[in-house]
Amino acid sequence: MVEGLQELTGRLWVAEPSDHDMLVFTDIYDAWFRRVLHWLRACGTPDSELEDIAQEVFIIIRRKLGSFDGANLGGWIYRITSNTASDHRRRSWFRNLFSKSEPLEDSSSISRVLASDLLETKQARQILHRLLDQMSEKRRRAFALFEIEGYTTEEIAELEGIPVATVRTRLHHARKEFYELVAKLSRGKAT
Amino acid sequence: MNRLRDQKASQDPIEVNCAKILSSAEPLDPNGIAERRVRASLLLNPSPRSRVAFMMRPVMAAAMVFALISIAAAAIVHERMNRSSQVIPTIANTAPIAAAPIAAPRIAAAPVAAEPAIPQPAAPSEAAQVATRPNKAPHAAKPKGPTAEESKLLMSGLKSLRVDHDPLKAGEQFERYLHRFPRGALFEEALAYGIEASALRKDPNTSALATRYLRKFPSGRFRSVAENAIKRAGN
Repeated sequence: MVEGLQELTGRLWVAEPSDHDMLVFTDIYDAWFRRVLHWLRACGTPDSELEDIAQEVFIIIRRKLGSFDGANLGGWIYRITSNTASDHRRRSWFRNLFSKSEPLEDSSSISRVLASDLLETKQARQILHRLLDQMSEKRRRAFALFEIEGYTTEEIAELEGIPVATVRTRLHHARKEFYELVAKLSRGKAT
Repeated sequence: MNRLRDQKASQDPIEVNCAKILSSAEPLDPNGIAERRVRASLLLNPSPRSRVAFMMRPVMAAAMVFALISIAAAAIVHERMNRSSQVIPTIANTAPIAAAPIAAPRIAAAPVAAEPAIPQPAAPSEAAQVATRPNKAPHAAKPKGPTAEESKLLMSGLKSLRVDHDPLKAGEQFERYLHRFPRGALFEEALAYGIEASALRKDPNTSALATRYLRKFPSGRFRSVAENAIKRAGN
């Protein structure tokens, strides 16, 4: 997942920030854009706002590129991404205070969706978003990166800057929570 | 560590549901459209937000707070000006009624013109009291409004004075008011009309009444009435 990191970091330090910022930035953009999108989704950014927030992330990266210490480019971009995503979540929470939120489907319709063999993708995605929203931020990030984006525990640990054991603990609790939430919805089907 | 999303063939139906839900997440930007769009936006906006703009945030916030405070202050001043403008016309309306009686012959000569003003004095004085109610001390005792008996007595005195042209009877009624309600809400009015009635019947006590008025209400609304009465008595 972090292939080319050393190469990119090296190029970054070879380049003078003032002369080649744009060149280095373009390389970073090409190499990391897709990953930033996945991270943003793991951080709970709605699909409809991914592009806007990604743009915001890269504007910040370009602004801060001169002060980057070159230690861990992936971790640095990940931190910017998660901070931007949580800022956005906070802002949208504040905005939603004053706007009427769209009501989510009731649990009976969710259980109907779960019961059907042909699970409609859109509905399932809505359920997934709703379930992830009920988790704490740290657990959701670890869970989404592992289960949805396909990262390994070691990669998550490197991105988050935490021990692998901590990632595993978070994953364990997050999976248990997710399982219980789905079980609760499935029980709703029977009643 | 196994992934939940790979458990589609599990024996546990809940695990299968988990896998279904987790697999629903679609691949992001498969055609690279979003990547190209964001790149174009970044190229269109080549200058990143400057540090100066970032530093301006607190200044902007302070400016907004200042603007809000200014608006609030302007609103308060406007409200106070409105209140004071309510008081000024009330006094201006009552002043001629009080001033007119001193020119007693003129009122007597044109009773029809004076009559429409009869029911007014009590109401404006009430309004003036409400309008001049102190704002700074909301816990201070509010000035009490006139009781029905007070109003009745004053109105009957006014009727005798202005309609029946009987200053003697009017004077008695105003005198009765002053005795019965020494702290009444219409005391000032009763005293002023008492001066008028007294002046009409050329009572020697007129200047004493006027002096009493000036002592009690040095900047009262009927000050000019009292001063004129003293002047006339001096002549």
